[in-house]
Amino acid sequence: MEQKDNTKNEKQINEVDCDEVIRKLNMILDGEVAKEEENQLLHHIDDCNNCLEQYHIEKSFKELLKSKLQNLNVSVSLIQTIKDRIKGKS
Amino acid sequence: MKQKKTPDIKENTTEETQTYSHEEKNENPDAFLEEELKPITLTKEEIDIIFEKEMLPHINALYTFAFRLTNNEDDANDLVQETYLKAYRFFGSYEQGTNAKAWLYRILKNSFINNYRKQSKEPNKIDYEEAETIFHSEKNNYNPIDSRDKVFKGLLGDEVSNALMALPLDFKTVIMLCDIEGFTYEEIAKIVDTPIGTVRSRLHRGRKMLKEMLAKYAASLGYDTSEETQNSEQEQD
Repeated sequence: MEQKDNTKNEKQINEVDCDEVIRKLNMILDGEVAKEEENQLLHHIDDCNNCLEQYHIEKSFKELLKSKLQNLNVSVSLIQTIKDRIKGKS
Repeated sequence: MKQKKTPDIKENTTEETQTYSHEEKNENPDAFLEEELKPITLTKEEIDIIFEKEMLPHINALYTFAFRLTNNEDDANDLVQETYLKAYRFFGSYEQGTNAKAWLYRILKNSFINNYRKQSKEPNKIDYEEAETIFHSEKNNYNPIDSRDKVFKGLLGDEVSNALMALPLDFKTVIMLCDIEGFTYEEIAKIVDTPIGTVRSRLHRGRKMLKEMLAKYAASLGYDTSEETQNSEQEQD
């Protein structure tokens, strides 16, 4: 992880505590944390066994849902019906 | 992954979660379509081309969403058809270049709520209150259920799908939008018409409920890691 401004970054890393990390785990996994903050949180996670474990638990659950919940296929006749009805409109 | 802004970092634990706001406000859920209606300067041919290129490719995802909302193939078909016909009729309110899929989802979700209201059904109201009571406490974020467990991996798609569909409407909706479709919190907030903080807390509670349901379900099927003799179904999928 790049640290352009060491003083600043160390201070910020120290300010990150486990509660904050745990609270934001899902936001990290959902891609909802800004890059700079995400780096700080991930840095903490790398160094903290408990947070790292929770991170992997949440990550694997998200991956589980994505992999098990596949999209269904709509019937060809529905697509045709929609196309026909749209064609008929002026 | 797209770089996204963090719209609101503060954890909003005290907020009241809501049901879909249209259920309470008794307004036309499709009002946004009419309000945003702009004059269409395209010819029918041009519209048809854009429609086929940008709207129709999302039909399987929309059908899946509709099916998991209604748990019924015919209702899901009707809902998808209604969505596309509305999208075509109100094509002028679609801002080209914006997320067509999110726009379609919003129309579908509103149509679903509207149809429910017509049938004077109140989807999941009791479930919802019960769930609120059970999952009210947000303080303990450490989840005792380990979803890396092979118990979870052994679940079949249908089993996960059934558990998801059994969740109260508000919770399964945000999980589908976020975890399956990958919409941003901001897009989800617009689709379900709630603040972003509500989206986040529903995701948190919904995932927790789903995890607990799946753990219980897996245990009831004998998917127990403590036993060496595993259900053979685990090997499938």
